[in-house]
Amino acid sequence: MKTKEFIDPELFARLSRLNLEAKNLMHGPFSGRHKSPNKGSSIEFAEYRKYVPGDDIRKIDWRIYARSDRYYVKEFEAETNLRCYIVLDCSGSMSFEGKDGSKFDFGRKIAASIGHVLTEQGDTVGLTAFNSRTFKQVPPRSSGKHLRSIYEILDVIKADGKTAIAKVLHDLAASIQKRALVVVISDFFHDVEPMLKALQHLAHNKHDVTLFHLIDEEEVKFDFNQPYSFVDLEGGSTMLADPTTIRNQYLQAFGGYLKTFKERALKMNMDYRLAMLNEGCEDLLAKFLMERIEGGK
Amino acid sequence: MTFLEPLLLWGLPLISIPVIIHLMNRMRHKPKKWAAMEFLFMAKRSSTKISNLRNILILLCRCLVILFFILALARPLAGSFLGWSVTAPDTIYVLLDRSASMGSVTVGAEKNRLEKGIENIIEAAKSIPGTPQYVVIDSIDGKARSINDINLLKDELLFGLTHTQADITAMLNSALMYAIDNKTGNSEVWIVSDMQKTNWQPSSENWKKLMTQFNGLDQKMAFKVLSMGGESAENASIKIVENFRRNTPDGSEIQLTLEIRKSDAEAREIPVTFSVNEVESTKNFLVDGQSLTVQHTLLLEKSLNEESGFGLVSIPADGNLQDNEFHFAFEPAPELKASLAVKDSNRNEFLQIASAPAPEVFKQSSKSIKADSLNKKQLQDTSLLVIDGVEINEKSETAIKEFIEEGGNVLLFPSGRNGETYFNTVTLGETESVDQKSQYRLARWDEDLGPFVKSPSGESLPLKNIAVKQRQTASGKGQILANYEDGTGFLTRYNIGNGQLYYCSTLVDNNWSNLVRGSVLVPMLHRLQKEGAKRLSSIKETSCGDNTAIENAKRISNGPQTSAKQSAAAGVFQNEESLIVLNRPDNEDNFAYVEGEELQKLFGAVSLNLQEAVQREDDSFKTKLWTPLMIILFLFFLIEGWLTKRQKAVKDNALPETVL
Repeated sequence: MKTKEFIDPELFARLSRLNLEAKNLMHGPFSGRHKSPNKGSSIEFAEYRKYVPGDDIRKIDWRIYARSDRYYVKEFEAETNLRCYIVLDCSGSMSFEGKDGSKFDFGRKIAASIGHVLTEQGDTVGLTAFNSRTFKQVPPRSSGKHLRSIYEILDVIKADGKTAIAKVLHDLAASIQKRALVVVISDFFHDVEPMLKALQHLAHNKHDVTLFHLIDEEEVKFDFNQPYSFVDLEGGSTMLADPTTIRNQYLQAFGGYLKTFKERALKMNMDYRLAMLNEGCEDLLAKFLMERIEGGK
Repeated sequence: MTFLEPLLLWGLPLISIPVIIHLMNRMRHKPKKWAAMEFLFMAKRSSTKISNLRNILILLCRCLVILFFILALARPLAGSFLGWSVTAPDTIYVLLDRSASMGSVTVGAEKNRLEKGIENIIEAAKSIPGTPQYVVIDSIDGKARSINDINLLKDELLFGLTHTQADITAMLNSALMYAIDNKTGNSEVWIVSDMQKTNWQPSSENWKKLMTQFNGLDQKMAFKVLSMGGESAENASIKIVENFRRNTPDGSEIQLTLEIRKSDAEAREIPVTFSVNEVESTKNFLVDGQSLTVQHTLLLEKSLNEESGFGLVSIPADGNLQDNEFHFAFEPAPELKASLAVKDSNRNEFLQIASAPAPEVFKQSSKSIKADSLNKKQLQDTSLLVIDGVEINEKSETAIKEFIEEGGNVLLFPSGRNGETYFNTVTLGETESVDQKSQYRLARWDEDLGPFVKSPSGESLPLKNIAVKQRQTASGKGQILANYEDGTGFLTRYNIGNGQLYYCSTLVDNNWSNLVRGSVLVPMLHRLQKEGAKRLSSIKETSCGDNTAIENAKRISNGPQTSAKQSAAAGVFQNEESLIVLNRPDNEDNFAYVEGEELQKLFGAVSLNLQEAVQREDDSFKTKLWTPLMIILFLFFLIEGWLTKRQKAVKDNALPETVL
């Protein structure tokens, strides 16, 4: 079988030493390593409460009864598994290719790596890959077989057409019933307001939202010395421009967009991560996982 | 506008290079797939007009830099002198300096200054609108001549180089007279000259008078000077300072004192060719420094002892052909006659012998005369009059003074009488003496010219051996030829008319000095006689341009035979009475020039435009027109650099770290 480019066993091996911790409380059907909003059976003591009819009498703390002659039930933290939805933008703009490779390849590598880490730690992971023409979705599951099916989708899907990120995020927010980790991988080149509304929809539903904002070095430096005919990757329209004459204005506009988007995302308590392609995937993910672990403690 | 290098204007299309490069850059744009198109559209929409304007200005500056560079190389002649005159003058006076110094070429040039000046004038005349009248005044005779065709200046016979000197004030005066007589209307005076000071005579009072008169004219007169300056190519000149013929036991000889000058100070040998009676001989002289004064003797056969003749000294062709030759003429050796008015009989006897030691061989003689009854006739054939101790009455003093003024030489010795004055020129002081063991010694003397000049073989006279015990110094405006260690004169020369009075401050007396040894005295007396004998020569030596000197004379040396201005070219002429030698004037070997403010002062309030000569190669960058062109060019360079830097500063901007 041909090895897929986004599958890097060495990277997976190094990342496997780390876990992906949920930042928020998680609803899950199975017990796992992540905190749940429900009280359940685990070794983590939560609180005492008065016995009410219907409670399992096995949960009554007889020592308290002996001392106080009252029935108290001992409650423990429920721990559940994590459900992760990886949302990968497959629009044409993601096919942008700089000297450090394409954004799409970078995004696929992030998705595959996170999928691997979560599956390894027994959590469920699903994938939503989309553009204006294609929509592929696999629900979260936790099995090696399921992970391979995600890899298959990542392998066959192409970055093409316009983005439909706002609509997809709204739909996703509406479809996910329980709290989950939503990892959005995109360059977010879309109208900012509709996109932020969609993200807000996810945040409102108390999902743990992580944004991987994929940016290439060329896009932030715009350091070109000759005129180019810029071809829009999402629409095919072209624009002839001398970068030396519009650089200042471009950087102002681009910088303003990045700043606004970051500030608004952080305000919505989202985990915003600017993913510069030239800085590599491993550092980005390692930092992401480490900060998650530290945040979990 | 006139350009001296118009061919370079073919390079003007090169100014489109920046535009072509710009367009090519735009055309050779590469396609670039881009994701963040929205921001490009935003950037282009907000790209300010200033940014576009800046780009256009950069392009314009680059084009202008090339334009001014080509213009500067093509050397435009601007201004109303040789360039863009709006209104043509009615008359243009061309004052042409045709003096010998105009024959020099500048470094790297092929044409001499006069040829280049004429070329510039003719070129400038082409751009003058209308048909002004041209009046040419050349330096030969200063006469104003109207010419129909300015191209006539190319005629070398009429307007070529000469061996003369120029008198710019005389030429201006000629222009003034012509303007007054002919009412030539709105006029311009174009002066073509190498600005040699001796030709311009800036200290002359004539300038003020001339300019006052020009200012007073009804018609408008503007002056334009085309200064044919620039560094001269390597050049050497030669001239004969002194020329004396004397008989020898084997025949006769011509003793020539040569002066060789050169523009550089590097030691090198210069071959000098001597031509006498169509016989040529060449000798190399090592010139270490910028000048050399040297004697050379030409031997003539005995059969020619009573013959006259002429000759030429010349050096190889160099930066100026006009100063490479010098003519001379000779006649039978004159008899050197010394007249002695000496009070002391011993000294009289000694001086008689010293002044004519070999009368049979060298045609020398001496005689004693009385000073109290001297008249002009007695001194008629005297080459040197020696006065020692005798008192001179008024009648004799008048006769002697006339003798000197006509070119005679007088050697005066101390009389011992304090305060005695001779010829209102020299006054004797007190007699001074030193003790037995001491003596006055000589410190310095002139070995290049005069009575103490080195021998033809280059040996110095033993003046350092002269020991003086008594002396009587004198006062007066004379030139000290040899002086004692304390600076007072041993031998002093006083010029009176065409002759000289020499005063020797000690006596030919053992109580006074050791001059009696004769090793200095004899050659000194001989040389003073030689100098004094010149007035007896029938050969007339004068400067080129002296027309009156060659009236009724015919050129006998090589040179132009048919020219209307025979005196303009150096050579030897002969009339019924004598030989006449014409050479270039000494002034033409003078390298001082009138420049800048000094020139402006000469013209005072009169309108003057100084246009420096546009010579070839290196000199071409010295023209005044270069300055504004180069300043403009540099200015555009600065603006272009500033605009580009501003653009680069924009380029250096980047997204702040906080955003990333």
